[in-house]
Amino acid sequence: MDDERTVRFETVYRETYSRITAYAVRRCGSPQDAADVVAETFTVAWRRIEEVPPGHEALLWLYGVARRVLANHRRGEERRQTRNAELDAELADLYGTSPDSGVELTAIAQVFRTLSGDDRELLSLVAWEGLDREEIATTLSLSRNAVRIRLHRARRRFARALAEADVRFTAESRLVPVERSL
Amino acid sequence: MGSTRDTDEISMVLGRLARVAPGASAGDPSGAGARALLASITTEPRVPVVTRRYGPRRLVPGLAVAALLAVGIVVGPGLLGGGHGVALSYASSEIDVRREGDAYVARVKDPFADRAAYRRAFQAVGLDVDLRVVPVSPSQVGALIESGSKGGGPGTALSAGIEGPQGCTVPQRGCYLLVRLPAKARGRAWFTVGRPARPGEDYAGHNSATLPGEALAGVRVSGRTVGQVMAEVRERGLGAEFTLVVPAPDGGHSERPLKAGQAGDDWTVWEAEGVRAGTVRLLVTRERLGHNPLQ
Repeated sequence: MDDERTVRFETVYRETYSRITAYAVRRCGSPQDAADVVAETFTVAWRRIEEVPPGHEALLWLYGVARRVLANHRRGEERRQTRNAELDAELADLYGTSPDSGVELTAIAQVFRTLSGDDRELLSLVAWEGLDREEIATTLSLSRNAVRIRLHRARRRFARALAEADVRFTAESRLVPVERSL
Repeated sequence: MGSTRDTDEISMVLGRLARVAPGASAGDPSGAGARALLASITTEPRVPVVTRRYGPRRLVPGLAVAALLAVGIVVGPGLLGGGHGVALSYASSEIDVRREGDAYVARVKDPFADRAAYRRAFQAVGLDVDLRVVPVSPSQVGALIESGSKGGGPGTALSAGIEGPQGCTVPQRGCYLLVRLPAKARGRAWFTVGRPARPGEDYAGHNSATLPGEALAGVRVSGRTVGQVMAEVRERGLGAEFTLVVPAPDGGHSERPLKAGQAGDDWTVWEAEGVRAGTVRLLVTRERLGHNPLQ
């Protein structure tokens, strides 16, 4: 049984590691914090491997765990489970370039930070993780309708905050970024 | 604002803020760090090793060793020292490694080299050692910042320092970062050693700026107001960043960056850390607490 458990966990780990790491790196200020979130998320998955749904839903389940881990982390409640210099260093490589450089992007980033955590997470799941409404509903344990309404409101609040801050997009901001080499 | 913004447009703009581009993944599950994490999770299922996330000093040299050994990270096959066809010394423009008595001594000649170059040197003498050289504040140059090992590796027997004329500066000629590890070590080891930062380069890790040799050497900061400490900062021609310290009920704390101007002159400073040459970070609380929340 233990072997089965391990095999199952390793499969989930292999299939979701990169996505969960990307999720953590996009939201954490430092590679050490991101490494903490990744480590804690998978530790939870290991303890609760029986509850992890099959297929693509495993990723959505893990996003949900990572979100809670991150929230605890921000409240300072998490303690480092492990100190993994290798992992810290690998994630540190991803912090080489600051994403929100440039006056305009800095302004947009500042406005984004003024939104509530819930609004930011909804908008990020769409813009960064590329989830659709149904996937977000699964991740956040909400109905699809609730997601639709909340997303609509979050977008409106963000647009309004941008307008109030007099932030305008130039053509360049509309460009989809090329994938960075990792 | 005119018309409602197109929803795709919002996603695109937000996408540019992402540290890892939208849709892209980050990190390789077959990388060393990911495998180490996997091993540490599945081999120690019910007994999590709890170490403090934020201790009084996160990067006390050598301190991390104990934590790493306790976790017991399993990475790759161990290589053996003293096996067949193993050299006793290795020299390149980046690093020299040679046997001296019962130890291997590595002299880093180019602290800015790719770490693969260091790795090759250790491999040549039969050691599976991953050396990382990271930018640090002046007093930490040559310090062993972090290390770990697996399978009877050198562990706590590692030492690091600077070799050269008294007061020499790495990487001047004849002034090396030096690492010493026992020759009979087996298994795998990795460690991080401090090198001088390039102009404008952020220091890896957080080190008090009030230590000898640092930007605010000898200045007392803990418990003083932001206004008082900023006077010292300006007097030395330094810049400052601010981090809010939020004490947790269990004695730990978390930290949040503050924007310029957010910290009032009457807030309390508890520590100053070097960020990069010419810039310090003040760790502050809004209220004046009865004790230092960082300790």
